[in-house]
Amino acid sequence: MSPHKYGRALIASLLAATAATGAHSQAATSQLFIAKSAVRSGSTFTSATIQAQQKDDDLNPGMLWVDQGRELFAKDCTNCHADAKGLATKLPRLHTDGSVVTLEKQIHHCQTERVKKPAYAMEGQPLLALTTYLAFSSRGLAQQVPANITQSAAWQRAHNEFTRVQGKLDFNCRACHDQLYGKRVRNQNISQGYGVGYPAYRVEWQMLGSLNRRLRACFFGMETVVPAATDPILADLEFYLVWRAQGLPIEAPAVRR
Amino acid sequence: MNNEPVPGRNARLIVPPLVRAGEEFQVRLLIQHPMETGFRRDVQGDIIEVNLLESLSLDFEGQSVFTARSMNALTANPFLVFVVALKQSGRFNARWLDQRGNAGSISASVRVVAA
Repeated sequence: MSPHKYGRALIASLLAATAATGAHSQAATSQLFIAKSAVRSGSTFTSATIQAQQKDDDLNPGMLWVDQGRELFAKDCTNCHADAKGLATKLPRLHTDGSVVTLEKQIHHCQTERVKKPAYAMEGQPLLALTTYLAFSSRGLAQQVPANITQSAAWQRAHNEFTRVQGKLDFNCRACHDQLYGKRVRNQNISQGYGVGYPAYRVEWQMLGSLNRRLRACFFGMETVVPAATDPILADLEFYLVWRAQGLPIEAPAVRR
Repeated sequence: MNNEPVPGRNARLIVPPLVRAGEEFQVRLLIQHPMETGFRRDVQGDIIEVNLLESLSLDFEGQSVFTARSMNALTANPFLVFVVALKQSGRFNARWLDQRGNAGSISASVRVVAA
């Protein structure tokens, strides 16, 4: 063994030792990387201009979708739900069959079972308007996290996906959002990745989009296989992100560059 | 999509409800419009036909405040701010028309009190 190779083996074994200790302490602190006191919403990583645009409802283009969603809610939803406030905090939730019900899926269920209308198309204008209005109505409230969430199969699936090294660039979600937040990649600030601002108006999209769409953009950015919008792993991840956010309040519709 | 709204039908015209006579204030207009440049393609690879807001105007009680012909440098969902001072109360009315002939309008009232 050359000295160079020997050095490399030594470093590898040191790394393995650190990883093992890390894994042990993580299990003890329920797998969360970022302490609750260090949790910051995505908008704190954006520029002052974008933050100002998000905070002022007169400037926030996402409010156009909120206005439309308010009309749709008044038309179709008020028979069952007197008030939209707090509805979005209950989603995403666990279904009895172990799958995750996102806000979009819940609306589809309400439409086909209660309102008896054809379901809105995913990423279509009416569904985005309704989800944005519901999230907006729960602004400032934290999403509910089920007790023992880490024991659910959905959490485990999402956790595996979040920590799985994948793609051409050879990294996982954790590499950026748990370990490198605040730094920059491709001239963009890396956030902690909670999604509490979604559905959000992204200037890049020139319109408002769902967290589902944003997550697919993450996979694209990682240069890995982009899951289809209907792939259950995206719903699992949305559920997982709520747990990661540790009670961070909803601030939709956020504005992103 | 069949339940897609007509572009440009949805807008916000924001004015302060009460201003002093002669005092400058902002009239903010936000229009939901894709401002299709004609350069983009859809998922099938077909070109999305150009559709820009052609004309934009704001008037106060029939008196013109602002008129413009907009082109493709204007962003999707355009946001415009006008600085105005008034002598008496009245109603602002904004109108616009896109290249597919979809017209939109919105109005908002301002009450003016003596300075």
